[in-house]
Amino acid sequence: MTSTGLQPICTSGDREQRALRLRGLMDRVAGGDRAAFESLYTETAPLVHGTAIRVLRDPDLAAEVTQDVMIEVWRTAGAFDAVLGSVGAWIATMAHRRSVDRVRSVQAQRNRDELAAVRDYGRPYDDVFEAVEENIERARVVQCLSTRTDLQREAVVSAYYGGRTYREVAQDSGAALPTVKSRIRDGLNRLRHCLGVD
Amino acid sequence: MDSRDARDLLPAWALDAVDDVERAAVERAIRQDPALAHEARAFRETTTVLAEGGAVAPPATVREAVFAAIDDVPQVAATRSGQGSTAPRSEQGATAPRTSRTTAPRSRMRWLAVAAALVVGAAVPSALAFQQAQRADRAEQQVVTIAEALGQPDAQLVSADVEGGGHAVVVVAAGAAVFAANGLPELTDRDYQLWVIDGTGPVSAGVMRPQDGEVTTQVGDFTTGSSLAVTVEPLGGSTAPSTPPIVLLAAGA
Repeated sequence: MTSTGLQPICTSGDREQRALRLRGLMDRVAGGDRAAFESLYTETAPLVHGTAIRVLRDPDLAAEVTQDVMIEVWRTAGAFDAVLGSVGAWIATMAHRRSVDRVRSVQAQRNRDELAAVRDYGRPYDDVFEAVEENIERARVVQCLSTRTDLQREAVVSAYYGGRTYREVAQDSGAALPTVKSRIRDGLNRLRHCLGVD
Repeated sequence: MDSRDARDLLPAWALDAVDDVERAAVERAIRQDPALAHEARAFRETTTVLAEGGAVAPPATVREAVFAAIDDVPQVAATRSGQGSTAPRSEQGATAPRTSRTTAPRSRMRWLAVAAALVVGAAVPSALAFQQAQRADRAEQQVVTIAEALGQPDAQLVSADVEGGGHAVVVVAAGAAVFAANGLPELTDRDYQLWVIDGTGPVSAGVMRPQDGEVTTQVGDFTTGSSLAVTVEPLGGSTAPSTPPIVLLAAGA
């Protein structure tokens, strides 16, 4: 960006600024700052809830998981380590892991087939995003998910929204481990470039 | 697990598609290898964008329940060592002191004083700046400081490339500003000069003498709607800018 007149923050920096802002909030939350946690909640609880809804397919379970995750964010804010990724990434990962753990514990109690998440993990990607509020990222994500080949998309979607490990994806699809790993890698790379991440 | 095996599993790790043993091994490798860490973060950020794209606001009852609960939830102590990503966890010593653990809002002069002590090396906020392994400890401290400044309710950040070389950033909050730049070429018989431009025209904010191309300056009275500009002037500065600005940073009103 060159010095050409009065320019506000350019859009490409918005992501960075948001990341820095969340970082600052996290730092204050670690020190017990409730006001900072209120801002952090407003900014990040929706991505937690959205992840929980997609993995669990059950709004009540999703609300419970969201509550647990946000409380855990408060509790462990002091342990946040930027070397593994941004605040958004940390919270999204926590949301995903808790959601998957919840699916597995529910699975243990019920017949496998009763749980929509397990039954429907092979569903096409667009169903995954049904009934979602419009937001800027969503349009890009939907579009970018459509640009990848079926096998790569399936690998990424079943691993992420299906909560499967790469070994389980291999078992389910009958593909070899290295094949699954490279499908996940290629799928994620194409997604990354399509979404314009870094 | 060596770096190569960890690299092989990075995409699966980023999708949280590895088991607990693999996850622990990958994260151990990440902490020991900055290049691996960089790649890991990029993959993980893609997953985060996926998550953000599917964001759904939770019911208000969740918010109420969370805020009622945290009163009784003790927090873990900060464990971040501030020593960057090159040292393996087990070798890291006592945690570096944090700038502040108070919950009171920082006063304007207080955050300015801290910000002025910034080492500008990683002042430029970019995804890489957080994790520059070689200057990770200073970068860490400084990112936290800028981030805290940005945590001020009215904080703004503007950045731009500098004509002739370098990059500049200004953080404006609570009626004050911090200007930071790096990569500035050395000048012979000339000085960099900072100007505040408000409705009445440019007012000098002083001559800046970068060290290793880096400089940080605080501006005590800076109202939003003003701009900061840098020009190259004769040694010692001028009473008014004599050349066009090499960088112009405007904070919106």
